[in-house]
Amino acid sequence: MTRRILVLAASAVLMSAGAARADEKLAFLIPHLFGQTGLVVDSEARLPNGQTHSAHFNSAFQAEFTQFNVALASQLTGLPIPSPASGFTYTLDPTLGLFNRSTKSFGPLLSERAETIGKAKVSVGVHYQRFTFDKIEGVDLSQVSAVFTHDNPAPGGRDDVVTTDNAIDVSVSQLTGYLNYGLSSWLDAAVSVPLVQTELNVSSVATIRRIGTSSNPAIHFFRDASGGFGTSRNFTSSGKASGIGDVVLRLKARVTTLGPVAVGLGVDGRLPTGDEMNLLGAGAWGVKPFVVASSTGKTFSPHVTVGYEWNGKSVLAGDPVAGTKADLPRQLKFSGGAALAVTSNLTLALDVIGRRIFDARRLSPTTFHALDGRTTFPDISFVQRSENELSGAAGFKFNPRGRLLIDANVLFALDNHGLRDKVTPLVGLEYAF
Amino acid sequence: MVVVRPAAAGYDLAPESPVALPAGDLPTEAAGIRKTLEVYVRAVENKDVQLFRSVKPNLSDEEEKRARAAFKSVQSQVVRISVLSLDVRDGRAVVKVARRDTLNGSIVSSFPQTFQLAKETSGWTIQDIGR
Repeated sequence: MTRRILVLAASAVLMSAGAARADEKLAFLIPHLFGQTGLVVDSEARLPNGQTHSAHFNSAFQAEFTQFNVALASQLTGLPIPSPASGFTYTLDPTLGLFNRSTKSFGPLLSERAETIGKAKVSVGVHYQRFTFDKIEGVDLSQVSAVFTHDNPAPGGRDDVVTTDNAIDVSVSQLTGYLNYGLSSWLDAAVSVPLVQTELNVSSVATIRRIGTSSNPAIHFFRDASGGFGTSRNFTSSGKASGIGDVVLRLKARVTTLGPVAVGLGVDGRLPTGDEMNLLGAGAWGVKPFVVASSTGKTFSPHVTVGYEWNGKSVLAGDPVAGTKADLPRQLKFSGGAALAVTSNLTLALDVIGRRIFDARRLSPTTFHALDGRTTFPDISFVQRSENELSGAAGFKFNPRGRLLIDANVLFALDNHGLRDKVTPLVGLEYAF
Repeated sequence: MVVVRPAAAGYDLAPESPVALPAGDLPTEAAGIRKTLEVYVRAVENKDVQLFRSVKPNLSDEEEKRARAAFKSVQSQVVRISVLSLDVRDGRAVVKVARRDTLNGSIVSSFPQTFQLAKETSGWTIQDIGR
């Protein structure tokens, strides 16, 4: 008997420790911002049976804002493998027995080109990007207004609402190391390993709007410091996590050359190596075949890439609290731009990078109309739809000596769709052996 | 007609010459042919278009343009040629070589090459280069 009690006690300790650890995960910060059971305000009102009134309020912000996690995870999956610097590769002119640089350009930074690096050639690099997200679907993340409605809302008390002014401060730093190897003169294999640090701070000012109980503040209130019937309360939650992100493996082949245009085919495989509950990875595998066409021009080389990404199921797309998984949205990814070799050691790159995310839950600003028919508040809701997201990228690759390249780039939003950072800087180094 | 195949013993590499001849009996023209290939190597290593033209006088304007572009794109180039066979007949020679180039100090490329040469009053000149 004593032994059985000890086993049960040990199990209880382990389970509670596990729950505590789980609660620390960043994916829980928004769902648990107002507490494990959601937003519950104080009440001294008694039901007819004498029991205390349980004043529980619900909102899309808490119930569905896990869409934010999906948007963030989607961003993490969207980071491309930098194109190898085939500006350092040489091709033999067989009629002269002389070597010439395959291209004068060092290629694009955040998009692809068809050229491969060359048989047995290796390039390695590291890129650092820091995202400080500003908006989601055009809504400023520092001012997300959401309305919580009473359980079973109805006139006469249960038409009270709680308005919240929420601020979400999220930043993601990503240090990506990659290696590209030429399996043959026309086939490259690459691996990209990101180290990710995600920091998430969420705060909310909740204010009770006594639409149906203005004469009796004891029905819905936040207990203030003096024990009185307060109307507002601040909630905050923050966390930081770091670790390996989702590893991407790539095969890319230069399949043909049509006049001045080289055509390549490739496939990216994303492994769910990042801890999705800490918003370090997508939590699902992904496969993205793509086709790329690029000019073989030595100085000015336009390029275009189109790929389609299938994703597996992730708990981020489902319900992190319940632990249920759902399909991470599929994406059509496309980019186009040009690399311009200004000098033999400086290449400028300009790109438009886009993607269409299919059937994703998206935030939509709305206006809440209270049951009194007069009062309105700004609110949010979520709708299922497909949407394009467009970004621009401008940067350069500079070759100070040997086969070392210094990369710099800024990625900027061209629209308000999705989770967006106004400007995302990138710096990096590449070296070709 | 004289055809020379490399002997198993290896190559006769003249001191500091970038062009190694096969060991064994060689045609009398071998020395002249090697000298032309040595000039070719020196022209490539020194990025000297005029020197290149001196051993390949039929260089077209378009080829000269490509040669200049190639020389400009390479920081340094070291060429080593091992002659595999010499086929000399009627004032013409077909020379098959194995070539190993080191670009910019570390990029190494090895490949076979065939030079077709012709004997002129000034000596052997390269008529054609192929794989």
